[in-house]
Amino acid sequence: MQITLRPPFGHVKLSLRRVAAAFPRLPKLSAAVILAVVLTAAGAGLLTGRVLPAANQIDLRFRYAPPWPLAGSSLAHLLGTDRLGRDLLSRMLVGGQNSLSVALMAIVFAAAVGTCLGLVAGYLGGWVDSLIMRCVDIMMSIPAILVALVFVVTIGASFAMVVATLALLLWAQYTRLVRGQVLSIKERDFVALAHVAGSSTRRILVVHIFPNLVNSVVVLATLQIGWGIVVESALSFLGAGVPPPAPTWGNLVAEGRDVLDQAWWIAVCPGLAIMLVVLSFNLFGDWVRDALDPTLRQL
Amino acid sequence: MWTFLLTRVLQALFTLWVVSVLVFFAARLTGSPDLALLPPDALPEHRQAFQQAYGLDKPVLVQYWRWISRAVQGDLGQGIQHKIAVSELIGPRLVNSLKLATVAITLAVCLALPLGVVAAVQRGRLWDRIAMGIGLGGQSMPSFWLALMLVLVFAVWLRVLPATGMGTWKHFILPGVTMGWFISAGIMRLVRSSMLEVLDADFVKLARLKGLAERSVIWKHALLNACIPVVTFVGFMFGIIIASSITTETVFVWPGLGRLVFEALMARDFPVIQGVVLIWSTLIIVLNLCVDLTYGLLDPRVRLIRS
Repeated sequence: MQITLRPPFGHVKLSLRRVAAAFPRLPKLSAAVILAVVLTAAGAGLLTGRVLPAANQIDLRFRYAPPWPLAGSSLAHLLGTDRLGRDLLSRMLVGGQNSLSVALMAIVFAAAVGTCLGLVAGYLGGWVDSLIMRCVDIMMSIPAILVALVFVVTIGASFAMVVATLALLLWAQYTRLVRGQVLSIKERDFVALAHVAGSSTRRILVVHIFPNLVNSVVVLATLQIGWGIVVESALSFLGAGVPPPAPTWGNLVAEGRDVLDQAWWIAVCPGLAIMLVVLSFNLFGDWVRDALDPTLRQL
Repeated sequence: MWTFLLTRVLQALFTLWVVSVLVFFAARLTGSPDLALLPPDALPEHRQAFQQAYGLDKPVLVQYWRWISRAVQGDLGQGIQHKIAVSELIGPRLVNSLKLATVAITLAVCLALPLGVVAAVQRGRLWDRIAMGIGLGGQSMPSFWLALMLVLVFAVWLRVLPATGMGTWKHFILPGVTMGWFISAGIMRLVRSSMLEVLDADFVKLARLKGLAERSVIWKHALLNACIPVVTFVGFMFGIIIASSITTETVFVWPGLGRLVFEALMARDFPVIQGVVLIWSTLIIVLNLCVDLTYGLLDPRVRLIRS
């Protein structure tokens, strides 16, 4: 007799079906906003410099031009211009590209590292578990943004630095979540069977346990995107983000801060973009959670 | 019970030590303060004298030992930028920050508690939607931008409230609302979800069966129990307040700890950065410890499990 051990991939397929069934409840407006922002951010390189002025193109004839329908504006600069006559819309598109890619890359790194550590901690237990969870506790009880600020300012702001710092702040939550789930999954029969059949620890973790917690990790990641964007923009606002002249939504708001009384649009528009995108990602994340794993309500 | 107490306190001390190490070495990873504080054309011997005066020429481990052994005794060293003791520098700023935080928390609780309860009771109806709207708004708006928008509307356009500084009660309104709105979003969601859970519990059904007035059932029996998870949120909330105080105080030029640490960072004023981070972390860690230790008092079920 041959015993075939099928890893429980059925679960993943089932939840895809659940996604399809839940589609009518998809927050359509949020999904549309996310899609639009992701597409324009990805295509920012194609749009600016061709359809729109280049993001860093200085044009001193049009300094502080207001957004389009207002007096003194021009159709060439729909959202107005800044102190050097640079087009705000182009800068916002490129800024969105920077802000989104920082947040997304940080979350991918954090999820990868955090999940691996959580798997190891939960499955091996013992002193490895204690050590990893001690680090998690420490990460969760220090004033994260302050430590991030210290790191970025002292080591020097750069794209990679901001991504690394954000990832450092985020990984602990994945570890805690994954470890908790591994603790219950590893008691299930299919893990014991895999063990009896002679699977290595690595195989059990990767093939048998990991597919069962993909959903939770995806849910946590979607819920964190909004937070990632807000923290990235706060760092940029304080001058500790991706360094200028590269625009990000945060440093555009910071530029607008000094000229709030004469050129309000420079601060208002990028901030509105942050709010809209974060709001959409939050609503979308809530939906993903309800669709994939409603037991994660507490996240 | 005693072993639990002891391990928790030891864990807290260990966390504090790790934070001190992290901050001390992060602040020294690159760049010495003379790069930021002395003119670029300063002579090498001036640089050396500067480094000697602040002990920056000694090995890093020696510097760390000197700093931590004095910090334990309450001496955080002297600021490089302002030339006065760090503890003297931090003291009044901490008071200012705490004043602002008190206003913000009061506003947040006064807004979030009733709204969260009403949202849970009227689940899915108008008030629930209004509450969720306010909550989502608070979560989605970066606090520095909300601060700027409030300044734009109330100080630049309407000219009814001061934009910066601290003095009269009017100065508290804009920064208080900025931070309060941000915090209230989290509290409201928590109150709502935990109220929904509690309203389903048997003791609430019993209270209704006994014929208690609905008002008393909701605002007394249910709310008191729903508040337990909210209390555990306090330590976390304090972390959020610190995070938003850096940007909020920077926008409103509030003479608090957040602005102090930001200015110190820009000037690479190591003693001040270390002092502020250490004090803030101590506050958070002690708060979390208190929450953990008093949790049993609030919720007798936890006490039973532990003993």
